[in-house]
Amino acid sequence: MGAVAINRKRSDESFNFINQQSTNPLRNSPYFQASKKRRFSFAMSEDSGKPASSNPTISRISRYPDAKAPLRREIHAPSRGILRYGKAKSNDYCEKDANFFVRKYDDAKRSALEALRFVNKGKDFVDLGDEVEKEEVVSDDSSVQAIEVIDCDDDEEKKNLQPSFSSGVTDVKKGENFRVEDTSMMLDSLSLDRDVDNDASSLEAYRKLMQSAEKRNSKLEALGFEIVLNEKKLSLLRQSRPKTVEKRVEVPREPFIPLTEDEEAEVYRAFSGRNRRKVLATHENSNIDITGEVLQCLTPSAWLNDEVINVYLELLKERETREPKKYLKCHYFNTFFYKKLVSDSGYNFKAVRRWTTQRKLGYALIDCDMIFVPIHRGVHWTLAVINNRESKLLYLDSLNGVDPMILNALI
Amino acid sequence: MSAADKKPLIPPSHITIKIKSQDDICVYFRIKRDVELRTMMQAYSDKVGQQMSAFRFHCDGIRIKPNQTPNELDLEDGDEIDAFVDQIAGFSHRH
Repeated sequence: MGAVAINRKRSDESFNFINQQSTNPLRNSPYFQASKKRRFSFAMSEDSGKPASSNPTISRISRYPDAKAPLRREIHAPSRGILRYGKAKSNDYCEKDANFFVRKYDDAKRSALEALRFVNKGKDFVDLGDEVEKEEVVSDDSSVQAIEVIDCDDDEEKKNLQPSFSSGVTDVKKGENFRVEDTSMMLDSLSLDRDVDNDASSLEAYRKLMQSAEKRNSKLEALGFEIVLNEKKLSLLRQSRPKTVEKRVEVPREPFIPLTEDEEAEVYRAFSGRNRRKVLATHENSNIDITGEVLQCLTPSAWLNDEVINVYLELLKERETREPKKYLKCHYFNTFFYKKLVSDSGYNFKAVRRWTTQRKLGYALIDCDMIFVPIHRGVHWTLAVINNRESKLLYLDSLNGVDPMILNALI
Repeated sequence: MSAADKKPLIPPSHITIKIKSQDDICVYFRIKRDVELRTMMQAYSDKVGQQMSAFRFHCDGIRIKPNQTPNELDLEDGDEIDAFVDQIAGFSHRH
């Protein structure tokens, strides 16, 4: 973390440096009197600014007291406004060289902005490193809980990673320094050119700019590669982390096994009209007989029957008791529970008090992780879930309905 | 005591069972302990005027089958049986 902090500071410094440099080449231009003034007001003396302006017209303008106010206000705006202002009040001298200075200024601004952009990129990269380090801290925390073998691997990975990251950071630092120097050189050259005041030198400056830009291109490519590499490492790290989480929370997942031909024939027979009256299956625990007629409600776009739902919930309960380790401890009320609960003026606990005695269920209701309450609402089935483990109440409605009364009754 | 006087009127082999519908309408039946509940259910359905298959009889949240007897269910005098009407609901895309 220390390295990052230092780096950040440095980037700030360089940022300031660039800002100063960007104002430097235009120090003697008459249109930047205001910015120069501000700069010098930060410095020791104000008087030192006045001799610098060799132009007599400018000194005359600066003598007017009301002329200062608009200039000072326009410090906050882009300097172009100041230029325009200078143009509007310009004398012969200004008009002559104005275009050139505009061009120069634009160049300088663009280069400064470019440098700024690179600095920003460097910052982004540093943030990335920062993130990784944070992650390391987090993983250190989790290492207490996780299995040791996996953790060792993780740590090793991180140790391998860390040097590379730090080296990346130092690279960026170097790059930044390099760039800062570069830009300062560039700007110096620009200021020199301005003194010479001819087109050939501007061409030369442009060439220099191009060269430096090309130099930076190679550096940028290297940096881009680094970023991609580190991002890949980060994603790898992230991939390795959820695995440990998954190991802790087992997800019960049972694949659907396709039916055999005999079974399909049996299903077809069950749904056929011939067995309407016949009892196809009897569920012993719940004493529910499933006839062919009841099964008809499972055909597409038919309405669901309470018998089917109750039997299914009983089957779910049986599955849970068969393999208690694999599934959460649940209790499934039948479809009549809610009706009974709200039968008498909204809430009638007395009516269902005997439904859930420990003697009857074989377990205490409070020990269950999840309690399912199917709710029949005239023409629509919904489900309320009491998540005891997370102390949450869920109301599931396929028609996006909301009924606070139901959940209130279940509390 | 009047209660003590009345008690001997009910033979110990018989119990009184209350069948409560969803509308809180109670019907009382006095049946023998070792007789299947089918007779009682049939009598209730006839009284209400519906098919027996339309009702689901529950005792304390547990479904009762017609071929069970009060003895099997440990029913005691004055116990309550819920008679729920069948529930059907759904949503079809044709609507």
